[in-house]
Amino acid sequence: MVELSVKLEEENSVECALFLHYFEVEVLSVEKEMSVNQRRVMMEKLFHGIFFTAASIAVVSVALIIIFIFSRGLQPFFPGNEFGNYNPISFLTGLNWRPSFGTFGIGYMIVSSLLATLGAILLGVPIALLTAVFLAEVAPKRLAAIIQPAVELLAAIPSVLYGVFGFAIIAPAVRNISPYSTGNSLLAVILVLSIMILPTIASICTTSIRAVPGYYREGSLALGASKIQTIFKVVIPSAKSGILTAIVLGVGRAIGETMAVILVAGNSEGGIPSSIFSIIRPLTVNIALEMGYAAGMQQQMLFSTAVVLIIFIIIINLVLSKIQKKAG
Amino acid sequence: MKKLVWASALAASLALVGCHGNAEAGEPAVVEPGGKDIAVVSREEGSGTRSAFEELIGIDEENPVVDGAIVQNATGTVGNSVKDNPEAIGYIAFITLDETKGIRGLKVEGVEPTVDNVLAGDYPLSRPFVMIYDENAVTDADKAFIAYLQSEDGLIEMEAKDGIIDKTGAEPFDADAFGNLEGNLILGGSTSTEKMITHLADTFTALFPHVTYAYDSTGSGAGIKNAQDGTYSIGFASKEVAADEVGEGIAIETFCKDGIAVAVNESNQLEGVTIAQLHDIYTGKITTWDELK
Amino acid sequence: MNSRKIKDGIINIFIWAAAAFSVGILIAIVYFIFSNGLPLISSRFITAQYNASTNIIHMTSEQTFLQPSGQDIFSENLGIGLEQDDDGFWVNYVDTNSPGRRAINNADEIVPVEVGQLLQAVTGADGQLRVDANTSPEDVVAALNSSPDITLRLNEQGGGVWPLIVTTLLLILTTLLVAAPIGILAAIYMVEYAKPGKVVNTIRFATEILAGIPSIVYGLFGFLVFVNTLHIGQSILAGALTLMILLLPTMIRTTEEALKTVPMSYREASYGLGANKIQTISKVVLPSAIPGITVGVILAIGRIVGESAALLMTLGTFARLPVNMSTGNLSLREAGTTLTVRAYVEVNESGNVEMAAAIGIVILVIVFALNIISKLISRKFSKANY
Repeated sequence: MVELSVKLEEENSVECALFLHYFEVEVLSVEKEMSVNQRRVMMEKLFHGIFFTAASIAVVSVALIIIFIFSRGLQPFFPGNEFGNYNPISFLTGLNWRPSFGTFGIGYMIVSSLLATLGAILLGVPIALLTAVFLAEVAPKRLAAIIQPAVELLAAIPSVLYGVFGFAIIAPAVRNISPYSTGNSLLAVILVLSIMILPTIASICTTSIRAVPGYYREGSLALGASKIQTIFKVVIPSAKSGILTAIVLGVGRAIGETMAVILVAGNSEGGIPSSIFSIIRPLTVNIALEMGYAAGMQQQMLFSTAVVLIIFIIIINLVLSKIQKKAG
Repeated sequence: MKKLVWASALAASLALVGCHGNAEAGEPAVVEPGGKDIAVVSREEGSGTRSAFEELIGIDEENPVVDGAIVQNATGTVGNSVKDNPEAIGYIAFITLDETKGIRGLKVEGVEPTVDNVLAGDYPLSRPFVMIYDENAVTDADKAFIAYLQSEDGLIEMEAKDGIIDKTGAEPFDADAFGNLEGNLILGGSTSTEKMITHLADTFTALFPHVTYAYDSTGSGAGIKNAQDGTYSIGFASKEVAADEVGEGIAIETFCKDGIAVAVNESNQLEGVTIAQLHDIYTGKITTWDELK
Repeated sequence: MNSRKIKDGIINIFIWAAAAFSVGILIAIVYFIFSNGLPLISSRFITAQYNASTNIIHMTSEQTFLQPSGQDIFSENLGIGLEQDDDGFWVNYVDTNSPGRRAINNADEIVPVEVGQLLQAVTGADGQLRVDANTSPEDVVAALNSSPDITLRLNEQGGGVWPLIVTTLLLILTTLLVAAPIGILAAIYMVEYAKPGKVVNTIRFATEILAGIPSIVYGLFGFLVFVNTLHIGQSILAGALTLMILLLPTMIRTTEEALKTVPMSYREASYGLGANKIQTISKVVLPSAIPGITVGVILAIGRIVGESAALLMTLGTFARLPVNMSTGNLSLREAGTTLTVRAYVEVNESGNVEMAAAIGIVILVIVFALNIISKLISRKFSKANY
């Protein structure tokens, strides 16, 4: 019996061992001396695995939340629910929310949320866009250098403080012009929301407009267009994608805002808002008011409200991304 | 041209800042109460104060609260809504009436909202303060606190916070019997009991310095629910809690009573209401202050 | 030509007006917060406890003290002077040798009498005397002098935001400790490793959805899963777990953007020099992406500081130091609340706009400081050249 020690530098040491075995050479042990490169490859695979795991955690947590929310939220609409059954159509179109009587209608809340968001966008986006135009194009350099960081800083103000401002200043002001005797109203909510999304939309739009290459402007001016014409016919269309992103963010923030709104909305228990001065109950406020104590079917209904909210946001995102694709 | 534009924009911005400056500096303009609509302020569904109030004035499924009623989620918030709005009316705990300036409690059926009138049985709107806890899950610190709430010392502290108490049979609290307690009292529930219970917890923890407390002010409904699943060690509610509302092994104990005040802004000239009028206001049959004169 | 000039002029006015309105409104808000809150700001505001707290302390007198001039209400037994106002009797003088400075509470810890405390009860030889605004000074002094062994009940006023600051900082640290690494690593995967295709699109779609979910829904989820079902209870841990999920998309997105701004030429040059992927990422790409990543972390911190809906039921609303009483250490299982949540509660429950604004000032100072620090850091550590 001869003992031979052979150093294999092949990566396929297993295949080599099998090869030797075939030739009836007993392989006592396979010692893999890893080359530096092999070690590197293993490290690469290890890190690849770590990165992928991290990314999967993101997916898993989303899956968990979505599954949890949707399962609890959709339960009452399917037979076999332990707390009873509820008609999804009455849920979505119902104009009264009275849990103690078993009435769960969020139709009027959907209208409230949509109207408030629409109002905030209609009021906030033009102002924010024009402000961005000002900062990126029109303002003298020194002024812009002061105002732009200020606007970015202000985008970081917590929404609660906007709510406090709304509670102390905006609601009383609305009460003075309202035919009703309270300032809590759709208008107050719209005003608070538009002020809230202003800095965010303005800073993103400013960045997008600044990112438009200089030669776009120069070309337009060279063709004889005025500065304003250049801005509105060349620069803004080129910055469309960034502007749309900003709008999407703004809409998301407006429809999902709770704390700022709960102080000025009025939180009605039923009835579609008949005027801009009527009190409203946005979907988010419904969840916030009841989540501490809701049990049984009422708790499931809160999840159903959350499902509706999430679906709205997905729809808005999809619609806006389609527009973005078309815009190019 | 450019300078003109610049100047006008500067003027516009100064005017805007000036306007806001004025708004913060002064009060919002007071609107004359009178023929104006009543701004009805109510509480969220889980509120014990709301349940008690609605039962007392006859609100039920056939006569629900009017759609236009503003819903606030704490007794203090209702007090503030009334303070800020000359047209508002709302129902609050007695302690809120005491501690909020700028509001008045209306006479109900001709009786002033005072502790003595509730004790005498003349003031019709009152409800019990109850504590709810899992008998099997309470810690030593919790048991001591529960005993404190039922002791003479505890009741005296409650009186300081507008609690309506019955001292008969109450013993002084024996702190030595409990020794050196440690732990955390996780309390929560009714917004009406918040001021009272935090005061009691404060004086209690003065006796046992190694015990801390927290009170989560989320409403009676949350107090009842969370006391059962262990989120709170002791939950508090501001209404009657029936034995069938809670599960097995859950204790419900009344520790004092509280009155419900009907508050209006201090500029409001109205002296009092009847229960029937309250019913009509909250169901939307009476909508203007004129109708109440 | 002329009509175009007029049109341009009008549009220019609108642009200036819009900018003026935006700036004006934002100035108005900051002015509102500072004007309402500044009167409450003091060093005491930052360092004191939030809730009023009562102390019951025992002391034994060993000497008599001389009544200092100017002290109307003074106990020779204890060397403690009081002043009276509409609210009651306040300690305004404590002699250096007063037994009050060595007073102990029921747990035998030394809790000294301090100036500014409100006297609520005196227990002496004749039992307990409750002290309030209507008690006569003579009765108070008599009770204080009645025996060598005196027990005092004193009330410390609250109104300080120190517990809120500690809770906020602890929450930020805990949340970031998990959210930042996962977010950065996941973003590295998305940008450096993943091939465009189903996997990447799924992950991207997932983070988009996560980013769109309103924070109140996270709050609902966190309350029912972490606080109730997992029995973590309202605590910093439950709040941090909820925020981690909330912040993941932001961290991933901003890190992705930062990694994408690093030019491909950097990576190609690195490979060309013989480096492998890990070396390239760790030594070339990441350092260049630092400004963007830092911005992401700062955004996350800002979001944590400003978050309220997700924390309302997962963390709670009661202001206290998140300290475990048995060990005396900060603990993640303890409850407390943050600056922002408490500001909301102050307005909502007490209508106390001044307190909310004062807390708001602290929040704004922290948020603005964070923003400025982030800009400075990114400028200093950046290897990118823009």
